[in-house]
This record gives sequence, C-alpha cells and structure tokens, in this order.
Amino acid sequence: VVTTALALGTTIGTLAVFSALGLWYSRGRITSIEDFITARNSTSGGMTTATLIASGMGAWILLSPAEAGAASGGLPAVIGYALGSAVPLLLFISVGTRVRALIPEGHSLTEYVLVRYGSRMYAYVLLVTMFYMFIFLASEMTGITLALELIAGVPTWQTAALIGTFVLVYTAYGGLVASIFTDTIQVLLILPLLAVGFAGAVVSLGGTDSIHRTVVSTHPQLLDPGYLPGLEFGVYIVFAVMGANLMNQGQWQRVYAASDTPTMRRAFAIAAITVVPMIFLAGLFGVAAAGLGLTEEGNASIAFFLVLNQAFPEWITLLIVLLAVLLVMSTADTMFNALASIVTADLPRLLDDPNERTLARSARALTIVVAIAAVWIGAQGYSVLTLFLTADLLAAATFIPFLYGLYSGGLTETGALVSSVLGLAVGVAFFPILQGVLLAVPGLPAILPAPSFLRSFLGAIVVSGGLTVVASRATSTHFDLDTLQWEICSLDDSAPDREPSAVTDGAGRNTAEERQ
Amino acid sequence: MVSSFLFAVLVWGAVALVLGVFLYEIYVFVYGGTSPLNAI
Repeated sequence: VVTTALALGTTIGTLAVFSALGLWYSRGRITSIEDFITARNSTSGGMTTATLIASGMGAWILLSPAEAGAASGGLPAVIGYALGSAVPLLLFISVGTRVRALIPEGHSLTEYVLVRYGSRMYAYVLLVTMFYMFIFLASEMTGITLALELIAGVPTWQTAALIGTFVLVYTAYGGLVASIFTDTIQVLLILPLLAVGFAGAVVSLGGTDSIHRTVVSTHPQLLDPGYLPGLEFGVYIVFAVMGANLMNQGQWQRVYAASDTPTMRRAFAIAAITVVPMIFLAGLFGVAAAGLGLTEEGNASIAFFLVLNQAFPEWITLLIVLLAVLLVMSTADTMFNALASIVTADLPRLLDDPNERTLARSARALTIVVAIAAVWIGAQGYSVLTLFLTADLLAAATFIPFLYGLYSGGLTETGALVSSVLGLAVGVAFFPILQGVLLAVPGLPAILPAPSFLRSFLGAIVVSGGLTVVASRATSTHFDLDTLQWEICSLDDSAPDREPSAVTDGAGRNTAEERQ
Repeated sequence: MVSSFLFAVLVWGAVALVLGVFLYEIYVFVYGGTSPLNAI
C-alpha cells in the first residue's frame, strides 16, 4: 500500500521538476503573443508527435476505457474505444493540411468561424468548444483527485490545488512553448511507464492466460467479439470522440506549431497509431476487474484502481501514481493554454485595436481564471461523464457544418447554423441522459423515440451532415475561401498589415454572398 | 470468443507497440538532432 505521504511526495516532486523545466525552457523564447499561443512552425516532428500524444492522453485513460471494458461491453467496447480515439487524429491529417494552406496565419478555430460564417455561428461554436474543453479539463482534475484518493487517501482538494498551481505557474509564464516542451519530456516517461507498469500488472494478475481463464469463467461475453452492447458502444464512441476532438483548440494549436505540413501530417499519423494500444491496455483492466468480480457494486468507473488495489506490489502502484500525474499535467497545461488562446485570438476583433502587451497580459490572466475554475471543480469530485457525453453530442452536431466551410464556399452562416441546431435536436431526442427532462415536457412523451446513445450520436451527425450538403447546394451564394488568409493575420505588432480581399468589406463579412 | 492465444497476442502486442513508439521517438530525437534533451 502506498502511503499518503509517499504519494504526495511523488506528486509534488514530479510537479516541481516539470514546472521548473517548463519555466527554464520558455525563458527568453516567448518574445511575442504569437509565441505564447501559437508557437508557429517551431516544433520538430518528434516533439509534435509527443505533444499530440501527451495532450490527448490524460488521466481519463485510467478511468473511461476501463469503465467501458467493465460495464459497456468488454473487449469489443475497448477495441472500439481504442480505434475510435485514433480516428480524429487521422482526420486531422487532412483537416490540418487544409487549415495550414487556407489560413496560414491562423490561431484558433473560432476566428476561422467568425470570418468564414459570421457572429451567430461564431457564438455557437465558441459555446460548444469552450464547453467541451472545460469539461475535458474538469474531468482531468476530477480523475487525478479521484485516483490519488483511491490509491493513497490523498484529500481531493490537496491534489487539485497542487496540480492546478504548479501547472498554472509554468503555463502562464511559458504558454504553448512550455506546454509542448514539457509534453515531450513527459511522453518520453509516459510511454515506458505505461508499458512497464501495465506489463507488470498483467504479470501480477497471473499473466494473460490466468486473466483469460478468470473472465471466461465469470463473464465470457466480455471476450466475445460479437457481443452486441460492446459493438454498439464501440461504434457510438467513435462518433462521440470524433466531433469533440475536431473542435479541440489544443489540436488546432499543434497544427500550426509543427515546423511544416509534412511534419504535421506524419506527427498526427504516428500519434493515431500510438493512442490505440494505450487505450486498449487501460481498457483491459476493466475486463479484468469485471472478471475478478470487483465491479459488482456498480463502481465500474474506477475499475482500473480496483484492480490496482487488489494485488499489486507497491512499486507498480507508485509507477501508476507517477503515470497519472504526468498524464494529467500534460493535458491540463494544453487545456489551460488552449482555453486562454481561443479568447486571446479573438480579442483584437472585440477590443479597440489592443496592443501586444495588452494581449499578452490578457492571455496570462485568462490562464489564471481557467486554472482556478478547474481546481475548484476538480476538488468537488463530480461525476463528469454525463457532462462529457453532453459536450460530445454538441460537438457531434456541429463539426460537419463547422469543417464544411473549409472545403466549400457554398455554405452560408444560416445554413451552417440551422444544420447544426437541427442535428442537435435529433441527437437530443434520442439522448438517454436528457430523456428524463424531455419526458416532463407536456406532449413530448408521445413522440419521443426510444433512448439510445448510438442513435443519438449517429442522428446528430447524419442530420447535420446531410442538411449541410443540402444547404450548400440550395444556395447560389459563394464565399471566396481566399478571404480567410487575408482576414486572419498575425497578432504581432510588427506583422505587416495586409490588404483586405476584394470580395470582403474588411471586417470578415461575406460581402460576396450579400452581393449575390 | 477470443482465444487465450489471441488475447495474449493483443495484450503483449499492445505493450510492444507502446514501447516501439517510445524507441521511435528516441531514434528521431537522437538521429534527427532535434532532441528536447539537447536544450537541457
């Protein structure tokens, strides 16, 4: 058993080392607001791959995949979860290439929406992406506080305050540069720790044959590749994860941070390959927990830690503590900076020509606000799964109209907004979590369909995607996509002003559309 | 039903893949000359 003092000591030591590294590396490297939120074309292939793995793989991989393995359908659910997590990274190979070509001096996904569509779609996408990223951050803080409480009895407020404070210090100072550097070192520790820690855990449980025998004797359906609940989960999790990740500002920042487009493409491809075994191994513990009869009381969400506490030697438990802290640090710093950057990139359009100093101060102040809110929520120990799925549904209904504007000039703001909202309406109608609320509305119970996560996510995507195609073909208007590169420019004071495109009014409005 | 052999292949294959990516990253940093450790 790992004592509270040992777990706290390991946590503080890890936090202190990485905070010092982040501060030291970024010293003198942050010369502009561009460095702080974009770090454009500065990151090598190895570092880009590492930061993509580290920023996406947070403490959640110790919770959700195991829960899926234990309660949602065993091996097929785990395999679906693992493959599904790779899909958005693979899609980013194409989307990132397009983004870099079309908006070479961009910073955030919302500034693209503002210029491409207008203020109503901007407000909607801002809500969706901020909600998703904040839930992601809150779930990370909740995950690590829960993990240390279960492993070593560390009070939740202590873990939340420690992680929030240390990560805040180096992220507020060094921005994206510090985040990418620490992510890289963290991945060089996370990968071997995960492999050795998990391999040691499998051996401690008696090896794969023993685990297989146990599961076959108690829950054989969990090892059945055709187990229907598992297959259903494996399919809908792909759609749930896809939309949310494509609207993750942290990923957009890394599209720009890569040194060039081929480097970016290769990094996303390798990251996609890497996340599959990471999530699969984590999910396996849920199958093992169910097989060992540890999740009978409905506590599947902590299946990983139930197995951990069962029979593991202290050194493996300590490795997992270290792994959990590294996972949460690398994701929390990404989210701190992503949330701050999304607002900072839009400030020049909201304030009256702020100078670079004002923008830098605003970015740091926003980082502090985000950190305080995340620490507070993390200390509460809420179950964030419900909020996570809600955020995923919002993103699933939005990401096709959102991305379509990168490839076609035919879709108008109204078309994109209506497609998203109607897709969301269909998704909500099937959404199990909101059934209770909807059933209380007079007249609705008679027409509400049977709840299903698969139909909810699939419905949201198919309806929003279908309407997007119809809307773009139903109009004769056309937005000149070249406008994006003229309207979205560097935030540096020294950057040369660009001439507005002939087809815009210089304020991001789609005049070409209005003329027609 | 996944056989015991296939289960073992999946588990140890996943462990090997994670280690493989780790070694690849080390290779890229060492031979690419872009190691973040150079900065330390």
